[in-house]
Amino acid sequence: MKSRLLLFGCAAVALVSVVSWTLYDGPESSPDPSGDQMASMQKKLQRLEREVLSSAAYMRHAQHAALQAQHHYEERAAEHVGNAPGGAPGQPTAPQEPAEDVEVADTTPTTPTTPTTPQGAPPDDPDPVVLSEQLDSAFFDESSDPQWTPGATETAERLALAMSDNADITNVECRASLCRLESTFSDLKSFQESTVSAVTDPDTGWPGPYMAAVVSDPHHAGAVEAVTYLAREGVDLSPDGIASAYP
Amino acid sequence: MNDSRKSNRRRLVLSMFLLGAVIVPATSSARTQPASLGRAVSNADTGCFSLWYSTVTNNCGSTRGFEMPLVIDSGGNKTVSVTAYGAGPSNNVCCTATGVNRETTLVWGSGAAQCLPSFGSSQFITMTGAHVPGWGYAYATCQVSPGGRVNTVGFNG
Repeated sequence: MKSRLLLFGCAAVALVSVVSWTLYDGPESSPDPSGDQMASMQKKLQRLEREVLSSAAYMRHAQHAALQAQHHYEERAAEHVGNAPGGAPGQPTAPQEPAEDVEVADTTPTTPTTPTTPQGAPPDDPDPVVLSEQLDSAFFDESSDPQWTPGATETAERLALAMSDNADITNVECRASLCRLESTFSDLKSFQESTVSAVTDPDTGWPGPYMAAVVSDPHHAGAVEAVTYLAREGVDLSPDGIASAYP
Repeated sequence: MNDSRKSNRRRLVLSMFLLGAVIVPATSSARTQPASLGRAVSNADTGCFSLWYSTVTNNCGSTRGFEMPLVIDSGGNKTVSVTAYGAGPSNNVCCTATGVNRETTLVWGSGAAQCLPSFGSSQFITMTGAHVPGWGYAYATCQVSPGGRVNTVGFNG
């Protein structure tokens, strides 16, 4: 299963590379491009950026789905092993070798597993990856606002610096009404503590609403990838607010 | 004739009363909780907070964190209002509101902590931006300076 995931990852990286190569025209031959050429280059660059980030988001979503499927498969396999008929009563049964290509799930509790509702109804929690993609789409469609973006970028960078003790900050960018901060934490607890304490600091925190989402599979131990959206005052970052403001 | 009119009037009054009893609670689901429902963020700070009429005062010599769970009946955007008191700037109270999904992988918050707008009387600290998804939860956290007091936390349930 892991080799399939690796193969899928390699294929996705290759896809991104091909798209990037296709869209990249190579160095300009003219040593001093005109204003029109500059504008055209900027548009191409923005399109390329959107393509690459969209591909990355797609990869992340696909990886998330694949990991969920693997998790489900492992649980089913573990249940199957647990329900297998044993020997006669009183006789010890020989330990069973797991079937080839079946990985027995790691039962060490690292993060809470998806609970069922008290009534047994299916949970209707919002999917962090889907919400993150919706906001990504809105974010990359925005241009910048000279009145707001520079100050917001300064605050977001200061915030990223405050988080950098416990996180690897991979990208900070602000547009017209949102800032986007990509980060990797050592685990889920570190994500929760670092994000909230940095964003809510009365002196250096973010002066507006925010939403932070874990975009990697939280059921697997190890590093946690997260995206934090810092919004201009008055922006509604709830799922309904996102849907109506950024249709 | 008179009896019939009286009977109709009684029915009308009864209907109005029942309508009010059913509709008013359904439309206005604001909820207020005393600060005593919360607890110190750090166990070591539990002894710093004392109760007075179910309000909570920090009696230690430095700022301490105090967190109050918000008992939520239904998901949605929450406007949270903490009522707090500080005699002066050195007794300030600064708060934030946070909504989380039950898997703790999505967080919505009000941003940088907001402090008391003035001192010498109980004031409101109103926060927006906390969203609670279905089956999620919410809480308000306050940084309470020495002598600062948290009275209540109110929100749309």
